[in-house]
Amino acid sequence: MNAEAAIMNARQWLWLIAKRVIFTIPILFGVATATFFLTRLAGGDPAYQIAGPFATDEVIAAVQKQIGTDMPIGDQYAAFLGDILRGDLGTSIFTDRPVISDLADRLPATLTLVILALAFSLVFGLALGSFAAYRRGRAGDKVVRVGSFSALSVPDFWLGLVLLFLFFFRFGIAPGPTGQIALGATAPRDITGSAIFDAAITFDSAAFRAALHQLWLPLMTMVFIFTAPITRLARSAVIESLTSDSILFGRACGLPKRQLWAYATRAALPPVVTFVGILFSVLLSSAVLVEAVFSWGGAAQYAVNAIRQNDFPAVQGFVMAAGVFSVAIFLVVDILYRVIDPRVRL
Amino acid sequence: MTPSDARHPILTVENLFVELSRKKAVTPILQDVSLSLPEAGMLGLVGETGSGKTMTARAIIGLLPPGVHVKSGSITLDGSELLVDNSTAMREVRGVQIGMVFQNPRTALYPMSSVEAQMKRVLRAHLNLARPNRATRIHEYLRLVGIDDVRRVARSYPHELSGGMAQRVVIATSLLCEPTVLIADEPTTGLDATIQRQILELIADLQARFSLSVLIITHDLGIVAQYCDSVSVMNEGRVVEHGPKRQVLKSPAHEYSERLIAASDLRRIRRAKTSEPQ
Repeated sequence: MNAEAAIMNARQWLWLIAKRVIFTIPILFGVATATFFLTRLAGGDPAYQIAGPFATDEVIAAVQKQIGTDMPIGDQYAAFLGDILRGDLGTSIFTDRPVISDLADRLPATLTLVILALAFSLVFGLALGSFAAYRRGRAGDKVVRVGSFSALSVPDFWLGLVLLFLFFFRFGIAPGPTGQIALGATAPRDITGSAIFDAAITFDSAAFRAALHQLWLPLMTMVFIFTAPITRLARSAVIESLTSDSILFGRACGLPKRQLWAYATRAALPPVVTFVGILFSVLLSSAVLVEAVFSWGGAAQYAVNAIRQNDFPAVQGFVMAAGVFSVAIFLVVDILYRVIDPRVRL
Repeated sequence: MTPSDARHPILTVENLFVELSRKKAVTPILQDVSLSLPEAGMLGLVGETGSGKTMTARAIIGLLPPGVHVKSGSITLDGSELLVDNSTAMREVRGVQIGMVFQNPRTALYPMSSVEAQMKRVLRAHLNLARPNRATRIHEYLRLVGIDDVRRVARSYPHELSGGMAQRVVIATSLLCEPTVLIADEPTTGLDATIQRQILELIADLQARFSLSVLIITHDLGIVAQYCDSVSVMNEGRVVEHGPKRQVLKSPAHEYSERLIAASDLRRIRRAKTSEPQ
C-alpha cells in the first residue's frame, strides 16, 4: 500500500469513528431521558428514606428541598440534563459523594470482570463451536450441543453459589466471597480500582497472584454461562461457511485441513463478533448478580444498592455509564467487523 | 473413431455408481457412468440440470457432498485408481494432478483474503518454493490467464473483481500447481454473455498451450460444437450417448441427445433475435 492510500485509509477510519461519536449524542440523550423518567416512575422519594421513619413533615420537606425532589418534575429533568452537559452526574444521596467519583472507583472492577469474561467466552465459544461444526453429527458435536444447552439454562447467581460451595467450602481451593483482594492479602497500589489491572501495570507479582486468586471463581461463573450462546452461534456460523463454495474450491485446490478450518472459522467471525457486542450489555446485568454473590464491590453492586435506596442520581449515573460503555463496545465491534471482513465498506 | 478418441485416455471413469443415503432410504444418483477423457483432449459432458454432471465431476475429485458416496466403479487417472480410501493421497491429486473450476467464480474465491494471499496458500500446500518465487509464480499465472494489471488484481479482494476477472483468477489458481487435467464445471454459467466467450477462448488456449486434458461440463451444446473433441451426454444419472463431437451432434443415436440438440438450436435462434436490436 502506498502512502497516499494509507492516508486515505486513515481518514476513512477517523471518519467512521467520528460518525459513531456523533451518533452517540442522541443515543445518550435517549438513555438519560429514559432513566430519568423510569427512576421517577418507580415511585418513592429518597427524602423519606434519608429522613427516617419517624421524621416530621417539616424535616422531610427540608430534605426534599435539599436534594431537589420538591421541584416540579420538568424542572428536575431540566436540571438533570444541565448537570450532565457539565459532566456532573449529581451527588449520591447516600454516600454523599459525587456519583462520578463513586463510579470511577467501582467501574474498573466491574469492567475487568465483564471484559475478561467476554474475551474468554469468545475464545472458548469459537473454539468449541468450530470444533462441534467440524464433528457435526458425531459424538463431539453432541457433547458440545448438550453441554452448551445445559449451560444456557443455568442461572448465573445460582452457578456462582454452587461454584463457591464446591471450590471454597468443599475443596478449599478458592477464596471465599471477599471481593477483589482478600483481607490481609497484599493489595496493589490503587490506581484504577481494578485490583488485577493495577497489579499488572505496577508489575506487583504478589498482588497479581492475590488478585488472580480472587478473580478466577467469579470469572469462571460468567465465562461458563456466556460461552454457551457464543458456542451455539459459532457452531452454526462455521457449519454455514464450511458448506460455502469457497471452501469447496479450497478443497478442490488441495488445501490442507488446517487451512480450510482457518478459512471456515474466519468466515464465521463477523456474526460472532456482532453477537459478542450485544452480549456486553447482557453481561453487565449478569455482573450485578455475580458481584452480589462474590461481594465484588463493583459498579453493578453499587447500582443495586442505589436502586434499593431510591438513590436516583446513583442509578442514573450507572445507567449513563453503562450506556457509554455499550456504545464504545459497539464501536469496537464495528471496527473489528471491518478489519475481519474486507467486503464491509468503511 | 476419430484421432482424438484414439488417443490414450488420461482419465477414465468406469461403471460408476453413486448413491445418496439418508437414514434408510437410498437414492441412486449416478448409474453405470463411464467416461474417457483423452490426453490433451477436450471432452464435453452435457445434460440438463440434475442429470448428474456435477456429481460425476465431484466423484472424480473425491468431493461428494455429505451423504453421497460411491457404491461401485472405478476412476483412474493416468492408470492409477483414485477410488481408494485415502484422503491424504486425494489431497495430492487435487490441485496437483486435477484442477477444478466452478460455476460461480465470485463465491469460489475466499472472500476474506486478497487474491495473492489465497493463491499463496495453494502454492504452499503443494510446492516448496521460496517466498519471492511464490510471488513471481503467482504473477506469472495471473498474466497467463490474460490479466494485464497483475499487481492490482493480486492485491484485490474477490468482491472487487468482475465476474470474468474472478473466473480468470479461479482458473489461474487451479492451474497454479500445473495439473494435467482440468475439470471445468459450467465455467461460464454465471457470467455475462460477452465474457463467456472470452473465458472459453482462454480455456481452449490454455488447453492447447499446455496440452491440458479438459473435461468441460455444460448444458450449452454450442460450447461443445465449438471447443470439444468428443462429447458424453448424460440424462437422469446415466451416460446415454458418447462419441466424437461431429457424430453425436450430426446424427445423435439417442432420442434424448436429439431433444437436447433441438432445444439448443432453438435457444441459439432466440438469443440471436434478442441481441439484434442492440
